Amino acid sequence: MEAFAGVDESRVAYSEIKSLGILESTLEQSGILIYSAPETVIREIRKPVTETYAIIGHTVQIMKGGEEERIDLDAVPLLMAFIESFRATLSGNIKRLGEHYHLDFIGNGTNWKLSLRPRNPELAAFVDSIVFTGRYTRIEEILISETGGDWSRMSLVPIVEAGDDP
Amino acid sequence: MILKQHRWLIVVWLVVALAAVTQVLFSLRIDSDLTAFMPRTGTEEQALLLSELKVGTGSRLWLLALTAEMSTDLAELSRRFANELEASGYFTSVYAGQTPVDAAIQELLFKYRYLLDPVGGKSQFTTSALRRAFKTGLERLRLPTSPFDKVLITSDPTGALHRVVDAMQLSGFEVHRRDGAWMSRDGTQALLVAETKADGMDLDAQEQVAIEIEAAFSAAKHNHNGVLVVGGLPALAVATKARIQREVLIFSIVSPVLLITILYIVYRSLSLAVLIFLPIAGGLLVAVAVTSAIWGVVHGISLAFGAILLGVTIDYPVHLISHVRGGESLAQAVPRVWPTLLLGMMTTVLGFTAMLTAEFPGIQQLAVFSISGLISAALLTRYLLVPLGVGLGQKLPRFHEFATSIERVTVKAWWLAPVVLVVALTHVWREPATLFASDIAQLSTVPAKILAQDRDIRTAMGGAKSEYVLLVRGDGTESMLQRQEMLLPVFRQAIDSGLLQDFDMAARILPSAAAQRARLTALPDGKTLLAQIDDARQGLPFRDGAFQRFIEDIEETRKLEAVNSEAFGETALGRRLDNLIRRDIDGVVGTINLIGLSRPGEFQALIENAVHQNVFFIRLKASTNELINNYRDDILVRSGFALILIAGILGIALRNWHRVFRVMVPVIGAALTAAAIPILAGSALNIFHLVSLLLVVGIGLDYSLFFSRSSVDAIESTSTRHSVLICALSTVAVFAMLTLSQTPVLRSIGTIVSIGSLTAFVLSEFVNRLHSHAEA
Repeated sequence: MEAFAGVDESRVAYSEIKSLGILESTLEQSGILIYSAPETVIREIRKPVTETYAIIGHTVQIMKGGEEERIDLDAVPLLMAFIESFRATLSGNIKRLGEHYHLDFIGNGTNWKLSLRPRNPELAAFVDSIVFTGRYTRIEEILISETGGDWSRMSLVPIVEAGDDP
Repeated sequence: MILKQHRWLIVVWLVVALAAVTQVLFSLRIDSDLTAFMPRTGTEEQALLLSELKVGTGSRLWLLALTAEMSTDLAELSRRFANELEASGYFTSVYAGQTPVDAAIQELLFKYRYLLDPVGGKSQFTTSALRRAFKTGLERLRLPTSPFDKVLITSDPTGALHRVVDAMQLSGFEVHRRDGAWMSRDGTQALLVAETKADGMDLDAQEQVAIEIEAAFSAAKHNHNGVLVVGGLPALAVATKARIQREVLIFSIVSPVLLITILYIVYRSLSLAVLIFLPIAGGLLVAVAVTSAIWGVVHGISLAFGAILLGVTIDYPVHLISHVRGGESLAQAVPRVWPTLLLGMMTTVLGFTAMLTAEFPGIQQLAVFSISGLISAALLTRYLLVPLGVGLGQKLPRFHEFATSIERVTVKAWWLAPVVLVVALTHVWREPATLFASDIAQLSTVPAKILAQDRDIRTAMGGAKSEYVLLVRGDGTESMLQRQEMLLPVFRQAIDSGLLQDFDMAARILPSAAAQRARLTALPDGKTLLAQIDDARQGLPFRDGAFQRFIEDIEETRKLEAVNSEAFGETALGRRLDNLIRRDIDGVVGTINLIGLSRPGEFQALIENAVHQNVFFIRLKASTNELINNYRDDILVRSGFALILIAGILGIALRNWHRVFRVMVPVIGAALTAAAIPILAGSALNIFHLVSLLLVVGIGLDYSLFFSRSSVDAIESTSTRHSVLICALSTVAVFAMLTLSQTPVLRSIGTIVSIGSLTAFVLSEFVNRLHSHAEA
């Protein structure tokens, strides 16, 4: 985990499958996740629509069809705690992660699994667990299990872009 | 021995003094509400304006701005400060960056969403509208926030809650935010707004709040460096009160000392100097007691005005003592001095009687204060000073020779007054606008520095309080809300055409019961809705029963009654409603704050075309200025009448029109000159200048009445010259001091009275000497 603390910026491609009880079929999307230490996480959705979510500090910036919207996370504390799970994991901030979640780490440096269960009962009413699985300093999958059986699974693949070091 | 004879007098005086002191000690409250100097009656618009200024939006809001060193996290400091403020228990709410719609309010709005929805109606529930709504819902489910949003998407697919919350947000009041704290545009200040439990006009409580804010700030900043700047109406009021009190205190300590020193030098007797002070102090005490007995409070301005009374009342004992000849007792001088003194006092009182009928409680207070002070000082001179002063004043006062030679000065200086007058009149003739101040800011008792601070914070907050409001009247809340709703199309038109940025009104938070009932009847029954939902979700992945909660909520809503303002209770929205709705004896008044209004004339025409009654467009600043102008004109007319009345009374009392002329010319000359000097100095005349001019008239009357007496002998005329000289010197000394005040009002008073009394002295000496030369 602490190994993440050394990462300043990373970009990965993701694909997500979401299963919701109210829908007859799953929802799928893919795009790019960008993490920039210590406070910024950006999700660029490429399919099926083009949208960008940037979580910077206490605000979420949503860019959609040339329009920009801002959500103040302080007004939505649940969302803040939820977002903290990703941000604190990516920045390797175990202390902050531990403030919001019960942590359970299984495995070793090569193959590992980190399970988070919300401490905040209000968040626990929505989210059952968030499980990160990975190898070395790479996160390979994020599985969010909601209460009531809905879930979403995000698979992450590193991008090798022209000009980047392999 | 003689003291024994007058023992009863002293007993009476002591009883009166004790009563006055008790009254002052136990019930004196000093008020610094400027609205006291505005009329109580007038047009409905004026009355509405006045109550708007007194209890309207924002009278309980403190605006706070923090700056800190680079190393200190401003947002964190702001949060700690907000917590400290909340913990103090003095505030109903502290806003440091929260959104105005919190979780508790959201729950309430959710329950009533279909009644409050601004676009609610049948069109929301057609198959095609529902299908569009479901498609939007599906898009939202793709978002990472779906775990928290999915219940809302299925229970409120038409987005009623979103529209309700949106309708309550004002676009004109966007404040920049950083890390959850409000920030100034340049990011150097963290901004907070704190609403006190105490009434904005309760200055004692607000003073305590000011202390509490300081304490909360030092607790919050701990050992970091930080600077706190305060603004808002209560902050202004507290600062004003503190300053007026401080200045009045300094003035009330320094001026007696100064006066007694002057009198000691002149009369060579400390006990006489102190004795002279008795009628003055007694007059002041009675004035304060009478005023506070009638009104319960004494306005800070009246109290400061008490200082002015000194300027007139000192004349009474001085005249008496200066006219005592070698070997005479005070009582022996009384027959020669008292009739003139009494006439001077009565004519001055007459001048103030004209103010008694003014429609401004503050001005009435000034009048009562002055009249009671003048009468009691004169009576105390006659009936307390005379018996007590036995055996004193035997030595010839100093400056007798100077007084004799004073005519050499006035011979050389008399032309100054007419020259100043001519220059000023030319100035006014060329630029008539400079004659009178019409901007209420110039009347303000608030120090300029604090005003600037307040303005800076408001600018930083991005939404200065709107200068324009619409007031909507109704017999009850419901009819007022319905009238506001009738204005909605006009507002939409004004916003579309760029006239208006936004508006805040009660009907935007709480629709009228009629509007709510209309939305209620538009809601479909369960069976119809289910059929339409099934049609609408054709081809979309939503399962059967996905919108069950939506159907249930509509069913529940159909059983609800229209929501009223009580439902909002003590929430932030409830308080906002309280600020926008006001009850008075005639019914209910709703305030509509117009934000970012660019062409007020055009907007007013738009409103007047749409509605004809019960809606009043008010330009807060312009209307206030108009009020002040009306009032000033009123005072001018009254002063004119008072002058005519005074001349008439003088005519009857003196039975000598030539002497009346000699009395009135210096009086009018002094008043005009005193009015001319501030105009020449570039400051227009305000209402306080005008009231001070009345005192100049009183002082002038006193001087010229004495000068115009046909003297019995040379000794008497030298004594008169001496006594008037001492009066003028002491008045100028005291009032020149007032010109140093930081409070604009006190400065106005100081300038007018010192110039006026000096001119009155020079002119009346000159006019009457011309006369005696002519006679000789």
